[in-house]
Amino acid sequence: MFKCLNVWMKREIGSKISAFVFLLVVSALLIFLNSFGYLNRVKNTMLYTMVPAQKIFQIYSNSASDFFYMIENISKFKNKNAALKKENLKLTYEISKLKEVERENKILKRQLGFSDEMCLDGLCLDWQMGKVIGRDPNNYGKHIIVDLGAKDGIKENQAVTVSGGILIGKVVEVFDNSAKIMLITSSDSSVNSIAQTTRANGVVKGKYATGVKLEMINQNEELIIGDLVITSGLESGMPKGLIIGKISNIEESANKIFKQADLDLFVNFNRIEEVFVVKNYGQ
Amino acid sequence: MVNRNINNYIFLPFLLLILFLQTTFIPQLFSNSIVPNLLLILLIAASFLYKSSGIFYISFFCAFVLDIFSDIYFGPIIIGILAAVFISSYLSHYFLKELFSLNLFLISFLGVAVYNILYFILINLGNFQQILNSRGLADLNRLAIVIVFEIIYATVLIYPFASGIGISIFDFRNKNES
Repeated sequence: MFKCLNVWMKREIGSKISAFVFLLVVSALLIFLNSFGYLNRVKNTMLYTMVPAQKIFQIYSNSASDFFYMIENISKFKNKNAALKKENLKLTYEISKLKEVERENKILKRQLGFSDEMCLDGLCLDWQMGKVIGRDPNNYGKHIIVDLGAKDGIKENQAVTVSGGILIGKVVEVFDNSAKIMLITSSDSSVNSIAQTTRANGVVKGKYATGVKLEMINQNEELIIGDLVITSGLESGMPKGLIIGKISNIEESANKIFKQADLDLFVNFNRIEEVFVVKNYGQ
Repeated sequence: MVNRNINNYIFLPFLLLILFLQTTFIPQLFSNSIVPNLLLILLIAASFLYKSSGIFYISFFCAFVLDIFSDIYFGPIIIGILAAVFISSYLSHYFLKELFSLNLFLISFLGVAVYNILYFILINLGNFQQILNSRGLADLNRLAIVIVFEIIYATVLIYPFASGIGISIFDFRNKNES
């Protein structure tokens, strides 16, 4: 009986090894074909068939995760509420000041003959709203899939934001009815940026989905904690002035060529549900 | 003969459901911590129980879909999952006869660790020099944290899924052998 079992096991293992080797060869072939773009059709068809189901799953998972998020954070909400009330008072004062500035601005614009359209650097932005239908299952890089694709005029390298002009990433792969967005927290992401007050130039790099870091800042440039970091507009498809985050910690050392800073982000990247793609900037 | 096949009519729809959850609900639910790779855990658990090489083809299909949703590089998930499933499947033949629970854990840990290390190496092939120079320990720390968390998830999830079925297989084998 034991001999029989041994023979059966050897045969079983033999078939598994051959299946494993065969699939490894197929995988290598697919990777090779993908590098030349031959796999786009297959990926496109798979995503096309999955999009309706993904949309349904995403709707239910949004509500379910909101529920769990509320339960998880119920104790924090009390403290946050008190802090927000305080901030609200401060912002009300700021708004009243800004209204005054806006009024002055309108008068000056009228005198100079400028229009009131929402334009950056002389180019009016065309935003298109899309919904998140898929999320990266891994912990190292961060990508999302949105329900906008080539048929909506989406192209690679276009900037992606959430409401309020907060940058979250850029388009890296476009399919017929969907597109893959690389979030700025991904370790492969790097965005040219500047500190709003001190105008220090740097590059915002992702930290394996855990946050972002402002790197490559010259030692002679000044950084302030709490200063906003915005896009510099030096890259194709990336308008100037999109908000990235707020400086929370500065790392400088005399024996290093560049300074670094940690940034606090304004959005929880795992909970994004809707995005805005900037369609016609610099392309 | 020991029947180690799972009922495909239950397993495949369940796998498809996990596949959708893995790309929608799970990353959202674990928004502030390490996202568990339920599909990997399920495939490793299934590799203990699948008699035929069918588990490799199923794993290949699932990994292909995950790869579309994941990084800009295509292939690391396919290779990582295939390697993890192969190792779990291969070792389970030899080491699940005795000390079932302990070996089940060890093989699951090994599978999870192999997947994460392979995936990490493959996505960083292009910029490995940069990791060694500038980012250094921070990147390796991230890898270590992910592996530890994934092992904890695997411990919590694989045991209830596989141990009940596995122990009965072990008993059945013992009876046959005696």
